[in-house]
Amino acid sequence: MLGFSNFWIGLIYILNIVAGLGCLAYGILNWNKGEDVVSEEDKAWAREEKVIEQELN
Amino acid sequence: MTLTFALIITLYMGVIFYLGYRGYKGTKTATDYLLAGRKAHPAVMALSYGATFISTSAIVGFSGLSARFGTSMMVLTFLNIAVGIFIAFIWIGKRTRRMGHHLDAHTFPELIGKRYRSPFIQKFSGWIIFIFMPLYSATVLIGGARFLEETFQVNFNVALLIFTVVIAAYVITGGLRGVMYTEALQGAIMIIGMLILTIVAYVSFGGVTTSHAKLGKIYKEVKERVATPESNERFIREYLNSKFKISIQENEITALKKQVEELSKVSDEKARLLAFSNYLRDALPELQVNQQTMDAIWKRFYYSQVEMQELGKGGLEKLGFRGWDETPEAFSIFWWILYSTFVLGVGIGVLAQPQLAVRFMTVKSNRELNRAVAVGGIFIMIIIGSVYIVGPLTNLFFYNHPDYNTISFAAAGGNVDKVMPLFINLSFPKWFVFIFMLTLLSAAMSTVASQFHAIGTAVSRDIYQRKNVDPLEMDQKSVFWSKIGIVIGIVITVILGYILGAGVIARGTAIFFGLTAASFLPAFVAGLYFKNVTKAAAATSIVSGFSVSLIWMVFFQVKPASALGLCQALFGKPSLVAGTKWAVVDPIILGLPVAILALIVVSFFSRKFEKDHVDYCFQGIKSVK
Repeated sequence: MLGFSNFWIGLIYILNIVAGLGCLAYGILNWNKGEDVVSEEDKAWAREEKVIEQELN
Repeated sequence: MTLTFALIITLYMGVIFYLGYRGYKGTKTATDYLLAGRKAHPAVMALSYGATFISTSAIVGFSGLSARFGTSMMVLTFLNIAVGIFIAFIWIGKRTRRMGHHLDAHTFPELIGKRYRSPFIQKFSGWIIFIFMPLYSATVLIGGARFLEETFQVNFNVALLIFTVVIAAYVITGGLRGVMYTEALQGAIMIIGMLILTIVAYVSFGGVTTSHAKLGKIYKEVKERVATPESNERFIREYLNSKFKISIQENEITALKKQVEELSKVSDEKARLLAFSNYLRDALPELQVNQQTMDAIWKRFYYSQVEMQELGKGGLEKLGFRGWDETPEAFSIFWWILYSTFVLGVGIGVLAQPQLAVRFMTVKSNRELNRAVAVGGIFIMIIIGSVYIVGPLTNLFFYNHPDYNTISFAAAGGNVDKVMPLFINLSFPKWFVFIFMLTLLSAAMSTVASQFHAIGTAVSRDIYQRKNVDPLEMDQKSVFWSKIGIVIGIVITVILGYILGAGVIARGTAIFFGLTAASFLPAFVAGLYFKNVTKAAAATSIVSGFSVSLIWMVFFQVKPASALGLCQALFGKPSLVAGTKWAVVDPIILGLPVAILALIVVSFFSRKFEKDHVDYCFQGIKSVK
């Protein structure tokens, strides 16, 4: 398949392309799904993350 | 040419530092920090994740390995997409984000430490990261240095120093986490570089199907010519006669071979060359003896020797290898080496990578993760897909190249880490070599930055834990220790880079991935899905997974055990199971099941958490049990 002497190698090659395109399809289909609310908890987390970044720098 | 390259590099670094500075200065409030995620394109998040995940380790190390072991490594491409992107983002990422914010966890050890209310787990995990992450970082630096070594024809140690200095400068001044935009740029450069590489490779070898078919064909041709010592000598004789328009006889080639074997024991190079040229003038008077012809003859014998070792009787075939476009013999030694260490270790281990898991917490919402799956999947498909196709195809290049006429492994002097740098320098114009250098720099920078960030936070937040201190207060001691931690991490990394031998990139990476998988994966994933897992079970799982893996690596798995030498020193043999198939079984095969078993069994007998704590962790998340 696809020039490979071994069928399974050819299959993996195709599966890789399928997997990549599958991810693309999933992303497009779910493009606008998933909550989009920034909670107080999220903000507090981000505040502390900024402090850590500054510490490390 | 070097000046042009220096100019391009300066321009590139300038852009990177500018973007980093802009991004860093631009976030005024914490909400900006998160809202930047709202405005930022999901491509940015996915590209920066991909750039962190993929480093020189893949592009130089693993592709070089696939030049030797063939296209059966493509299974890793599939796993990197299906597990590394799809499962990671959707099944792990969403919960990590939600739970991480509930628990106010900013590092991976902190996440599992707080989930299980165990300072011990946090500390132990922090130590694992601090001690073993430098091994992974070292392989990334080695990958870049191997490329510099070949491109500028400098000594490897010098190349390693230069590469380390450039990366360290970026990490220290550009920001340890790096700004998402700079990493997205780096990811974009990586895609362009690898796409050009693959397209040109396919076109130059005659197209997709033809290239694949040629791979099988030349494997058979090389195998045939090294089938016996006689056929090998016959090939060399015909080769040299054709190349130099002389007529070496059968008995003369045998004598010449013996001479080469004798002279290769002479350590003094000048003496060896002199002796060789005298011999040639005597034995082959029709030959024009000069540096070039001597080199060509010497190399031909060397290459044929490697070919015999690899593809001859008693070579890789004895271990179960069947060719570059063939799958290995099931459950053979080669099968175990390939699938247990390289494929399983990295393919599954990606889920328990501390420096990747934390990224899920920086994402604003699940919607961003859904979108990122699209970009991430394509990114990995192109980059890793290229790695495991171009690697094996380099054999076509070296086989047909007039100065080599041999397999990639031989052309690279038996060091798989040298295959890609050599291939790219020989087959592409300098301008593409420079672009590829940028590709590698990008890949290395983003990965090393995240690694040192993980090391730094492992020290400041996980190992050195502040008790009863307002987290928003700048604690001088923790700042001090985090910087010390990073410096120590860098120093250990560089030392490892110098002392590790040839062909270590893929193996070093696999060791780290396998170790973290066996240690963290069961406790981490169970913590995200099951309410009934106990603190004792998680701790037992992490310690047992880690211990079993480490013991196996030091005393049983022959490659790392013999490299370390402790088993030899204590027991007088390179591995306690040397000579059996067990010697090539990866620690993850034992460590991971042990860790899973420990988690399940201990959970039955130990105290469960209060409902309040678990319910809080799982707010907004569906648990399985």
